[in-house]
Amino acid sequence: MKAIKSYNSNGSSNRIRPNDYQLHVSYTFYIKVTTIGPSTATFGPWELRVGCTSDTVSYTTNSGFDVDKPIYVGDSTSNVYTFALPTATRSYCSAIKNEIYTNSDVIWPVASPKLIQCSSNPCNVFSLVDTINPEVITFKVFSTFYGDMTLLSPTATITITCSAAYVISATTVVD
Amino acid sequence: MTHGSALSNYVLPTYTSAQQTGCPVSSWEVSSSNNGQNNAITAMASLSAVTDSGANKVVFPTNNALHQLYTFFTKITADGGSNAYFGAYNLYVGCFTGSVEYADNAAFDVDLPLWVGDPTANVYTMPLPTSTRSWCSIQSNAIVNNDATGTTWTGAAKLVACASQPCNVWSLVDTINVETIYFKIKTTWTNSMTHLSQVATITITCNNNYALSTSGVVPNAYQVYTHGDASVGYDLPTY
Repeated sequence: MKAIKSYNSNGSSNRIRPNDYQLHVSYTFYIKVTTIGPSTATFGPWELRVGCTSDTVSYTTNSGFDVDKPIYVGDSTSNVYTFALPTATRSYCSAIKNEIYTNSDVIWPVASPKLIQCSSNPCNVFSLVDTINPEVITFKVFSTFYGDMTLLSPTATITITCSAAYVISATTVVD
Repeated sequence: MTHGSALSNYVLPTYTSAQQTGCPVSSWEVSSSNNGQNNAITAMASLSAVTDSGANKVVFPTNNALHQLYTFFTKITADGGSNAYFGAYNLYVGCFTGSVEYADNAAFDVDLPLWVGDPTANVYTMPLPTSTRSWCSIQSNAIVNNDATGTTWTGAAKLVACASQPCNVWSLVDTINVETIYFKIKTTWTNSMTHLSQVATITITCNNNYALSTSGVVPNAYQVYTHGDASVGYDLPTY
């Protein structure tokens, strides 16, 4: 088995480790033990789970996930929506990418953006394209984790409405 | 604005909210007072609601036959509830003090000299007073006393009252005697407004070119009387 190798860590026990421990993989293997004589026996199967796989970690939506973000027309567009990162059962299994998806579970069309996709990942704060008009933007966030695991968030909504605090002016006086 | 016309109205300014594209102005209300932001208007029955007139928003009197000043405010509200009061706006309808001013015509004739014996007909012409509003028109002109308020002419008539109004040309009763006639002209306008002119004078004097003639007995070239009698002399004719 080329994927893992035997490794004697301190002389008192034998340890198995991956040849490439950058991979997120579960290794199932057997151990054949031989004594002087020789007597032999095979033990296993045993499983070495390395990194973040469906066997080692699970993800759930953060309890702080913001499902409804109300803002006003004319509000700043920058950093409007902060995506509370999903919770992982392994601390070392974090999201490497978060993307805005439509409520139909496809990536948001580039041609008609509402939120600005992150230019570099991982990021979890999104800006709006504009706040010019009242509208309701429904979307999801698609997270990709180490090991190519993914999680699609519930639907989030950004509701843009008119404030009651705009300055009103008379721009032209006609007598 | 003129009265009695449905076209008379107040064209309101264009109002915009700070977010006019997304949250445009959507309500225009007329109020008789500025009640302050977020407070309800005070209805004003004498004016219409804000109405579309082409590309404009306008307000007009509910009774446009009145000569009246309407002072009003507008409460403007945008989608979302932002609001503000504007004004005061003044809508002047018709002819009344404050909406129009009258003045003597620059060509007003303050002194007309005449000769005794001149024709009396159509002697004095008054160039019509001017008005700052074209729809405020002259109803009548009357010769009045030369006093501060233009009281009705007293004493013997000097100028002949117009037979029909409005008129601005007067005849004299006569030009028999030397005299100076002082008078003013009171002009009555639409809505019974009046304008009193400055003093005008017609001065009637004697000319130096009257034909002279004799009457009675034409004397001889010479007359002869006794001497020593102070009661006799040359008897002249009547001139």
